[in-house]
Amino acid sequence: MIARLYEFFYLDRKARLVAYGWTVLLAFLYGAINGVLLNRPEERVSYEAVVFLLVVHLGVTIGYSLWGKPVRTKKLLKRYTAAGYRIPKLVPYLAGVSLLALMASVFIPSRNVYAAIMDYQISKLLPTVPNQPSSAIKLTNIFDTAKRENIPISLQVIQNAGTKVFASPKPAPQTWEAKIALINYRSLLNSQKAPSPSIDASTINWKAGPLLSNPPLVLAWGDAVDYPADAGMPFFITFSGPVLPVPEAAHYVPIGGMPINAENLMGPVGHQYIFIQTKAHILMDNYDMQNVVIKDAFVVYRDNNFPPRLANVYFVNCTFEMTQGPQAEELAKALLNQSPTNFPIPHEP
Amino acid sequence: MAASAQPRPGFWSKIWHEKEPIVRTLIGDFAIFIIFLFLLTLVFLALRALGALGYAPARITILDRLHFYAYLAVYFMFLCDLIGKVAMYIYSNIFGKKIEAVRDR
Repeated sequence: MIARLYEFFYLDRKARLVAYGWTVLLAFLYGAINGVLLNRPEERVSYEAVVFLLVVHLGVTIGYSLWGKPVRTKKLLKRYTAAGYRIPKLVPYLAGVSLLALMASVFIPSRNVYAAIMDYQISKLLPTVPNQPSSAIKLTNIFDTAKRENIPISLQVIQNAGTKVFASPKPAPQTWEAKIALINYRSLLNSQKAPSPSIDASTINWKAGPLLSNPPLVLAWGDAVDYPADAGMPFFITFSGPVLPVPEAAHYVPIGGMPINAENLMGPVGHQYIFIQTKAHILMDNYDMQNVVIKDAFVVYRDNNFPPRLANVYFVNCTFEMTQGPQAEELAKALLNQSPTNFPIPHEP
Repeated sequence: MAASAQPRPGFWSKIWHEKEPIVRTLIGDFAIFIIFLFLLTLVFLALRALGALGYAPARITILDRLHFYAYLAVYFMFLCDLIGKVAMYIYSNIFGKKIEAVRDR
């Protein structure tokens, strides 16, 4: 039986390829039916598909060694001698080209190719975006994909898109989604401009939940986190830079709330920057933020009657959830056009 | 005088003569695996290009999942084959006679 197995793995190429072809096809179908049609969890289906493939493979090899037709090995071996055996002509060429192409796909930055396609596609869509819902949906998809895949769309195209989607006085309802997708993507680019914490900065790790609604230090979060799914998510809060008097120091407090560090033993002072990194939701409604860098968060603005006040605020790789309204429109414009963001936008004299 | 003696095969030539069938089989199968991998990579690139063109992400996700299972099947098939080949090679070195019997059939 072992000798027949050897024959299967090394000599009987035709039987091997037929067996492997069917095994791959069956394992693929198993994965596709369970993962896509039945929508079962990917990890579990993957394990099952691998086990399935192993079982079929073992079955096929054992079946071959027990019942398969023996090949006329001597005749076959002659083909393996220097004069004889040839792999089908096309295979080496195809394999060589494939190998080169695979290597090229590793080294050529395909993100730039996608970026070029996206630039072209966005430029084509822009004239119709304000009025055609389908164009706005496409634009939303493009910016969502660009953010997810970290594709570098050119700044000029982003500015053009911003001008176009914010220009129309009576835009289609879907345009709002496009605006949000645009500022989400824009916040990805802010990582290059945002300051970084200094080496001696101190970081506090809070978990989202009851503790955060009444934090022990300088941040007055109030109802900043009220998303149950966020419970337990970490908040990394870093205070960085020189200690400054309150007016210049960083703060994140409700508008009209207690000034930063007023009750702190250090007196009415604070650090230059506050860095907040989390994947939880944080609320902007009625908050006064100054010199704050928010990273990776879901930034929520719900009530247009309570706009935030932003001064020198960076949103890096954030995802925005904003209720449409006059204040939200203005805020979205500020988020798109400025880094850091200041809101309300100061009027030039 | 004896007929002109043929040059004795060198060390590497002996090894190549012994291993050639195995190496050829391995290269042949590997070439087919590479072609499949390349085709799957083409599909991957096509899916990304569709995304860049604004194709609905929900549909791309479905195609992406199908593509993932195809990758999975091809990779593991290649792995199983390689393990089988290595196992048979080791076995043939230990129990060479049985294998010789197959070859001489």
